[in-house]
Amino acid sequence: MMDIFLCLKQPSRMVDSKRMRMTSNFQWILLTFLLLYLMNQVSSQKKRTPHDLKCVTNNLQVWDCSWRAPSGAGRGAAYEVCIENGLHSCYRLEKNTKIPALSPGDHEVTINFGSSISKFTLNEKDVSFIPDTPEILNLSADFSTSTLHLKWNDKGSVFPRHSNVIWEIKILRKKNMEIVKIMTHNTTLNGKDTVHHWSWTSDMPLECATHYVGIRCYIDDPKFSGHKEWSNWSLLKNISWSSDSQTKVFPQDKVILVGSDITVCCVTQEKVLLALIGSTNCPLIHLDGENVAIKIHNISASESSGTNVVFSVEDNMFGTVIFAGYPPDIPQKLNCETYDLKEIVCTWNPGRPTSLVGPRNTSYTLCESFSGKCVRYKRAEVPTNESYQLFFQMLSNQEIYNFTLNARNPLGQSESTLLVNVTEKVHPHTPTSVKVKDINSTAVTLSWHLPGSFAKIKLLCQIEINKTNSVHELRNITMKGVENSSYLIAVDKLNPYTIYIFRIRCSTKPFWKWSKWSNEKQYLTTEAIPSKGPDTWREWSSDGKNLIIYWKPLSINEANGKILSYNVSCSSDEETQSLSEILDPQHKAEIQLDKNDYIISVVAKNSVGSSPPSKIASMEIPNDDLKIEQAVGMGNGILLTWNYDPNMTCDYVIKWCNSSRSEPCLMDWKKVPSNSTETVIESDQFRPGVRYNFFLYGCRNQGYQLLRSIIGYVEELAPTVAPNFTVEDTSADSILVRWEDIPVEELRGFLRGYLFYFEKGERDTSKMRGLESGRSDIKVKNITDISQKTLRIVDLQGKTSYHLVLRAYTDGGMGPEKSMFVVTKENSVGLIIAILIPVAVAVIVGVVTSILCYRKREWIKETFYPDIPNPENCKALQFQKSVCEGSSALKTLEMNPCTPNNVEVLETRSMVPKTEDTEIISPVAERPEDSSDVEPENHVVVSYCPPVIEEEIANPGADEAGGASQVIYIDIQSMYQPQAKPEEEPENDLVGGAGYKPQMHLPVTSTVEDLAAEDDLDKTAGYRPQANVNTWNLVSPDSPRSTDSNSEIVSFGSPCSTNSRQFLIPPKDEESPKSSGGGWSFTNFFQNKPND
Amino acid sequence: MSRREGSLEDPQADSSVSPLLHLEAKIQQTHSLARLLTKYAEQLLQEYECATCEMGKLRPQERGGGLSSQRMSRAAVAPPEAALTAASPQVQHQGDPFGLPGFSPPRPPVAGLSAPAPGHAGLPVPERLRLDAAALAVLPPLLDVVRRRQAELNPRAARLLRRLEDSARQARALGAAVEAVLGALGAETGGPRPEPAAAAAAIAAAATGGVFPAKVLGLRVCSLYLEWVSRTEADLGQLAPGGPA
Repeated sequence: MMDIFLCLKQPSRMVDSKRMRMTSNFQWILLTFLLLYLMNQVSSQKKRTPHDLKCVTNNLQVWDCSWRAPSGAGRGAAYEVCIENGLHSCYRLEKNTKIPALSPGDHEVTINFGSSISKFTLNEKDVSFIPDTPEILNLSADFSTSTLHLKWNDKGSVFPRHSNVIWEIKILRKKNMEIVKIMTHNTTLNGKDTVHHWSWTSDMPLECATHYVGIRCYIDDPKFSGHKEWSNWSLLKNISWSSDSQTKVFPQDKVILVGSDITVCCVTQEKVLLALIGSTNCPLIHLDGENVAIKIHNISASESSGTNVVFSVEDNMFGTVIFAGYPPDIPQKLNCETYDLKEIVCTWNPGRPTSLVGPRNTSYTLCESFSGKCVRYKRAEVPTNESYQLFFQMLSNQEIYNFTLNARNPLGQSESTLLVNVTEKVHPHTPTSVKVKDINSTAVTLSWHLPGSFAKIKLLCQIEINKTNSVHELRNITMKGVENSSYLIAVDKLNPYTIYIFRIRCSTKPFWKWSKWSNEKQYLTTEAIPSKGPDTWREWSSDGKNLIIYWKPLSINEANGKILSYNVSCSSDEETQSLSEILDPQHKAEIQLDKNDYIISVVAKNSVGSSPPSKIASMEIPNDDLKIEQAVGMGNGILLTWNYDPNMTCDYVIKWCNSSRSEPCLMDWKKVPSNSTETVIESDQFRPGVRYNFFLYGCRNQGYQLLRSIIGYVEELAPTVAPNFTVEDTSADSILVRWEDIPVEELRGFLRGYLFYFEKGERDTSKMRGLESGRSDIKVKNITDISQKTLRIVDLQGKTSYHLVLRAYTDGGMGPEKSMFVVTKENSVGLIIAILIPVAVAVIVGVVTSILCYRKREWIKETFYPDIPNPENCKALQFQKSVCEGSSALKTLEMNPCTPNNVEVLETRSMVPKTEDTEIISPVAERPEDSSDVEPENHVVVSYCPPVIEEEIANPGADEAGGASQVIYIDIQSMYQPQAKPEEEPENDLVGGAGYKPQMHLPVTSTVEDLAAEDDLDKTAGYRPQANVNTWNLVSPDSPRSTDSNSEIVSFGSPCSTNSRQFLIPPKDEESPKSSGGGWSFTNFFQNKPND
Repeated sequence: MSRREGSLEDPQADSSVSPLLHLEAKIQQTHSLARLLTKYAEQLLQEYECATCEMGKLRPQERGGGLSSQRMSRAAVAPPEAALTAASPQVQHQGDPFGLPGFSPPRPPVAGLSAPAPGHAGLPVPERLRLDAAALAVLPPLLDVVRRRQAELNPRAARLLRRLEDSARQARALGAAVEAVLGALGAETGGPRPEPAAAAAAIAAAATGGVFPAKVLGLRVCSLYLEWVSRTEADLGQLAPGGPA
């Protein structure tokens, strides 16, 4: 090595740093080799001595130690082992040795083998504790419950002290040993050999596949400080079902809890094609061979016949039935009571249905803990919610019972307990054999049978006493129970001769429950003498000679038996007269009496005896101050009131009768105590709409005085008939109607008035419908004065048919209507007047017009028919131009030099003649009526023309007045005036241009007229002559202008002629009302009058 | 066909009436009874399997002998909800899949009673009637066993239980009537026949083996009852006036 080292070291000198690094590596390698060498030397040394001492224990008492033998030691070599444990113990052993467990701490162990000696230090911590492999003593199976039962011995006797043991058990299934479950089981070693049992229930029937079980253990000794390890697994044991060749399905008829999981398998040699649970297909789980299984999760409750599981093979099917249900519910409403203190009956409700029936149904057991007796419930099938009951025989001298009701079915059990003192829970049977016997007319004995041993307790019984048309009465009776079950009591305070219906029920004290009512027992009590005399009244006959005595039959309570007859007697101060016996049911007697004061006495008799007498005086005290009053009832009765009268010492009597009955009238009467001031009269005989008479009598010193007489209705109704009415008188504008009273029987109430309707209408067309609907064409008169029997209807039209209706009304409503058609007479005076007045007016107008025309004839002439100047004398052509163009102040015109080159006719709408910038003012225009007064020096030859007066639209009244018409004379010079305002009338200017303009083109105030003028222009209507310049030039400036509606040119000579006035008016549409109504109204008046 | 006079003689009948007419009347009555019981047997089978299923599917001639996995698989492969919907309106005393379309349960052998043989129609009428009577004698205890088992499974199915009880009584009556006809015909009524009580004990043992086999067995008994009653009706029909005999 040194050589190698040197060889290696030589080159290292030849390099520097590099060399130095290589030197370091070599050192490491060298050290490694050295270490390996040393180890090899040591190992060689060890192999030459015993080594690797190991100790294990399986019972904590003996350690089993072993070591490796030295090399060269042959089999059977002997060792000397010495343990330094206080007692230097040496053993001569072979390779392995069992030594007692050493105390905690280090112990030196020397093993001598020949000359070599090995020393070890042994501590408990170095020892491993590996229990012996457990052995399964027995593995069995309960196939019905799919449970495996495992049995093994813990061999605890070999362990020195108590230790906890953990057993681990594994379950394997199928031939390929799939681990199904590994579970642990804890036990304790107690120093003795103990056989342990362990069970496990498989989720799969054990028949389905082979199951294997293995076990191992782990002993957890807290005092052992060494290594504790699991034991080895035991040998596996298996459970398999020895099947024959038949196919079978497992489990069979299993009862499981709803919602749980279950595995069903089919052990078969054939191939299973499908599996069904109910109607649902399930996936197959393949087991060994052809065996298959299905797993059902969360199964729902089965029908009563169970849930079918079917496996289908090629040509057959196999199945089983699973019953999924619930364990029994806790019995609810457990109640125990007794009917007779002999037997206890316990009832309960089963609670939630278990879905299990038949042999799987819940069985109940009732046990009493003090006596230790039990009874078991066996029953046929009952509806689910019906309560169950069990009978338990009572034990002598035991009152308190502690019951436990146990419910059990294949899925579990439940129980309910009840501690009861039966003497407080007595529900007696129904009393039977009820019998009634007389004691007297007001008392009976009642007996019944009530089974039960009630001798030691008290009974509380209730007797129901029913009387016809009366409220039933309950009487409570407490009695001591008897041994023979027969009970008897007396029932008093009954009414004689009355039918009673008795029934009984009983309970016990303290009260728990009533028994059911017994059957009813009807009984008639015996008779007694009538308790009072009959209610009597008397009436004098109509002739006043006989007194009729009335009495009312006694009520059942008063009669106390069957009334056989009545005895009537009358007595005075002098004598007593008794009439013969009057048999029931006659309830009146007639006695011939004078007007003396008698006392009438009436006595009722039955089989037992007579009643006390009822007395009434025959005398009636007159009352002169008697008025008839009215009253209306409340439907079923009528309230009568009166003032308190201290003089009335006995009682008041109100008698009533139907008012339509003849006297003596008596329907019924009612007696009221003397201190009363009102009473309500009710009777089944009262009918609505019937009038009754009520008479209030006061009793004074045994004599009755009529205090008030009242007519009334218990309820008013509407009349059933209409008043019968007739027409007394008819004129042109009025009708007088008369009607009659309605009979009382048909009035059915107090008459409150009449309603009279009338309207125009013919018999066949007028239907006065909806009288109350407020039709405006119907006139209504409400006649509230019921004494009024006539009505005059005025303001009618003559010779007109009227429909009249009359109806009466009460507070009960409107009666039916009666109608009639009446035609008024013709009005001749009015007709005459209607003819004469227009004629007279026409005559007067004519006369006045004639007078006016006559008086104004001059003016008319001047206005409308002036003298026409001779054109030859016209000097207009001699007007001088200078004169014409001279001062405007010039009031006279020299006609010669002035020749107008334009003539224009202006129109004006002003009522007042208006002249604007008139250079020539016509005196006629200013003073038309003074034309005759024109001064000669101012006389000029005037070319004038009458103004064209447009029809006044805005003021037609003025036109109609006629007198307001104005004649305007406008100088032809003024025709230039419109030219001064060209901008105001541009259209007219355009149309008319400068110079003479046809009247059609003059400004007209009315736009309508403009339009009409334009239209007329097209139609050549208007002032044609002026438009025709040639015509104008041919004649003269004043030549007659023509106008026409047919484009004919008619010359009338001078345009100033009054005749021409007609032609100066622009032609109007004849249909236009303006053309006919306005303008020249006066003229038109004459012209148009014939047309009018 | 040999007829023995006087075998059906009614002591109260008019002696002048021909015994032949009595025989015909007896046959007619028995035939009518068999026809009536055939309808009752159909109703029983319907009630047993499916109280509200259609009548036609329960006819014995339409019932497959053995398993029809194809038809059942059609029912089975249907969605569960669809199958349940189809079954829900029905009252099935035995539960699904009994009564479902396509369900054809196995026809297990019944101890002491077999279905009418295929060659039954070829036998002489007396022989046929003897077989009918023998089967009808076995059926009542079998029906009683079925009723008892159904009373456990369906205690509230009062109509089914009543029909089973009535059917046992009616089968007994029909069997007696057939025996009477056989006697009237002069045929021997005895012969080897299974002991009814033994047959009932055998089926009772089978029925207690499990609920599902009991259901299937009950169905089989009801089916056999229908087959034998209808067979009896057909056999008597050949004897009845106007019949093919």
